[in-house]
Amino acid sequence: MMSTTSALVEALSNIVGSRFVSDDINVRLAYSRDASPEPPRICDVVVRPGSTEEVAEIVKVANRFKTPIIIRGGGANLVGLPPGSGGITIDMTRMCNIVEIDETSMTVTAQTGINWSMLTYELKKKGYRTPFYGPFSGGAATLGGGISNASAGLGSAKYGTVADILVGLEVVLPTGDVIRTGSGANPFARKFARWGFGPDMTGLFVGDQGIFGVKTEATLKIMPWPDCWTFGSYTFQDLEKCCRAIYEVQLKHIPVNIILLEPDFNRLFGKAGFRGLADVPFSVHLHIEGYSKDEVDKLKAEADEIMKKHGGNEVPPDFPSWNFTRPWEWQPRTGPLGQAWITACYKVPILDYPAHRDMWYRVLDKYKDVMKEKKIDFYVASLVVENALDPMNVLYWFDEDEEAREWVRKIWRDLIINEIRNGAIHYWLGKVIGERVAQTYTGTYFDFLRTIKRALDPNGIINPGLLLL
Amino acid sequence: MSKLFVEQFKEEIYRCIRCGYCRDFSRYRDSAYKVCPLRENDATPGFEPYSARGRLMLIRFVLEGKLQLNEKLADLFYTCPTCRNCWDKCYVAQTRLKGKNMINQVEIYEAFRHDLFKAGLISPRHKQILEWTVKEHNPYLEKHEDRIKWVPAGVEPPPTKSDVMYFVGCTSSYRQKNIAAATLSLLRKAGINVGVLYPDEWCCGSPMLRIGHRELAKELAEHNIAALEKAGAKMVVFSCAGCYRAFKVDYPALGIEPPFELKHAIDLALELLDQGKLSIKKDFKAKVTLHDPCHTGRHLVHIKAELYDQPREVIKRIPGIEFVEMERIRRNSWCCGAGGGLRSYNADISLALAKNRVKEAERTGADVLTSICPFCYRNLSDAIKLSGSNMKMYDLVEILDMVTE
Repeated sequence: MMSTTSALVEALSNIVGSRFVSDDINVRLAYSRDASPEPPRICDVVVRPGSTEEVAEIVKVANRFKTPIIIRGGGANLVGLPPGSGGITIDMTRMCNIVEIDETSMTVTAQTGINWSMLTYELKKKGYRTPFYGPFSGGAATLGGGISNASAGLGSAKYGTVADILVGLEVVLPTGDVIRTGSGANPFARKFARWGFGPDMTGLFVGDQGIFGVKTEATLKIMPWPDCWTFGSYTFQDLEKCCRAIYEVQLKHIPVNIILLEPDFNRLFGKAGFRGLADVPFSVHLHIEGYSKDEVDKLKAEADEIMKKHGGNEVPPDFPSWNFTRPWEWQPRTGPLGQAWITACYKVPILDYPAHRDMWYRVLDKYKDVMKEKKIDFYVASLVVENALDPMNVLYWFDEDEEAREWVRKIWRDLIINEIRNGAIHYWLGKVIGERVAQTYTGTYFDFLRTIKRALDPNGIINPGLLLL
Repeated sequence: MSKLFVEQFKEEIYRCIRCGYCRDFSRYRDSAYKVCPLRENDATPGFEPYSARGRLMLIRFVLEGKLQLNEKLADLFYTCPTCRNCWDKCYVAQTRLKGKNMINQVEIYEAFRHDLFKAGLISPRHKQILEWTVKEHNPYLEKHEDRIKWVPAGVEPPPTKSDVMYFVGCTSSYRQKNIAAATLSLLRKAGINVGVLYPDEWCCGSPMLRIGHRELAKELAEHNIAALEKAGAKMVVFSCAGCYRAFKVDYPALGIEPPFELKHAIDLALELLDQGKLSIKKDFKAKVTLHDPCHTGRHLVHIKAELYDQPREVIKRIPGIEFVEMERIRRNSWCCGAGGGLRSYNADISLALAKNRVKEAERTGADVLTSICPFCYRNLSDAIKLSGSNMKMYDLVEILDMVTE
């Protein structure tokens, strides 16, 4: 008699071809971790579909076998795979094509397995970009992953998050049915509008951690590639004044990107030759873009005035002119000595940040001895997401030191709980943050989510256990 | 289990943060579109272990005792042309610490292949190649005595001793004889009395290192160096990117510093043109595009010896050529699929990669594809035939030989 796994492999092979299905332990182990320090989660089978139809059939098979599906995009998550073990991992990255660039509607429709850097590469050939152009991990992170995590990142100071540029989705529901949201729901319409006919069904799938279905296509707004840009860098002695300056710049919606670097990063970049950063506590870096030199010069002058009014000292813009001309190439993702990293991106109102930040140091104070002993470092850089600051509070450790890794997991969890209790809104959640969000939020919000999950996914097939659902 | 050879790279292996940029990261600022050729157009099933993140993770599981060496694991590791694009696009690898790149993916794969080889987990084809090389000093299953047969009939055989020795390499000796003949002809036109090691030229050892037989590679290296010293070499010239890389990078890594000047033929030809010792007398009327071999490019950038400008400069000087670049060039050049032992391990996958590169060349509208490596020549020209392309393949030395007098 055929084992369940063999039967599953056969059923999946009938859909995508045996070449794109594997139950080999080597393959399964290679899919057992994301980019977090969490322990491996080993699935039974990995499958790489090439079309929406194939995804729909895979979901139906999963329902038939009552086996979970773990959706995997770029595998760049820092928050842990869904809890449990076994099931089917769907690697979405074979579905990486642009379906249509619709210049009339100013939208692009792409399969969700495309990563953000590929999408931008293709759009640039036609002179376009998406306004928000991807999370910092976008060299691997996929469109689907970005939407499932409501990602912020590049372009967020001016254009918000992926949610703000999303027009519609194609989703394979947990039953295997396929729906289109936005104006794509009308078979006679272009995919150009998100709103206007009933509730925002697109929004249901934004930041859902994939629990409500498998996104297979997404339609996003595009804009002409801004061909003029400039940069500004300012150092501050005082964080309150620094945040006030950022806040005022944001009131006028001036830069497309803003990064705030704190002392350790300033020291690091200063040492690497970035002028003016070596010995300063805080530095703010602006990327301003537009469609004419006059436009960007005017915006830069306005930003200058605001920054200087609040005590900002202008320094050569080495950091932003390096960083923002190389999107996705830098994030604080490896320590200066080759350490591993973990962080938890989230949003807090810009002016609340100084007080919020103090909380980390109160938490870390409990661990100061072990951090010293295990060589665990803490660095901070933040980006700006419209009205919010989005801190990347980074813990670095040497990953070959298993004890250090375990301490980091503990400290990281402690920070997350305290962040939530101090008003932080995390957006990539996965297992680790999702659990803490679900445990900490009060009221009927999670009951409501559970009701929707049960209605859409009666067998609990898709990404089970995320958000404790 | 006894200590694995790859353990020496443990620190580097743990530096991989699994960001996944080693797969399809694309960079518009310099036309770097995607990273791993094994994932393009379904050349392989494309699962995680076909690219660096998955590979490093699996080695880590092995080091932690959670995975044993096994045949399927070996298959995944030998299915790689070691083109080094994953190293080139890895943020961590490109960060230097104590004068060294933080991760060196290909060195790690090759160390692990050494462990797989030691465990007897190599393919029958690779086993045959190794055994044959011990006996006949080449991986092409050819007789050593036939090695010199590339010298065209009617051409005076080169001397066996000279201060300028041409290291022909196995591919040009036995397969792309046209490239060896053109190299000899070109150097003679410049008045160089170039010598060739015969019968003392053995395989450079590159295929053995790629397969994982380090001891045999070292033996071959020591033999070749001793033979070249005996021949009185002051300069050794290569037309093969693989041999050139072996002498430049692999021999020193094996503890053998070649005591000669090492020159790729195209680099030397450019110098000879500059010195007026070679003169271009004819046109080459064609629309030409250039493929940068991995072994004269990404494999040499860390010692700042890459050959990107030299072939372009040579092409620029040849009248009649309309030169067009492919989308992915220089450090972003897309691998032809021949290297890393892949051609002999899995010709179908190797040629699938070559076909992808030929398609890219065709998109330029060029009618001639040129390169500076006989192994790239071999895979690309096979792919041209298999895909029914109308492109013609020439080594750049051949073109230069045609237009010089």
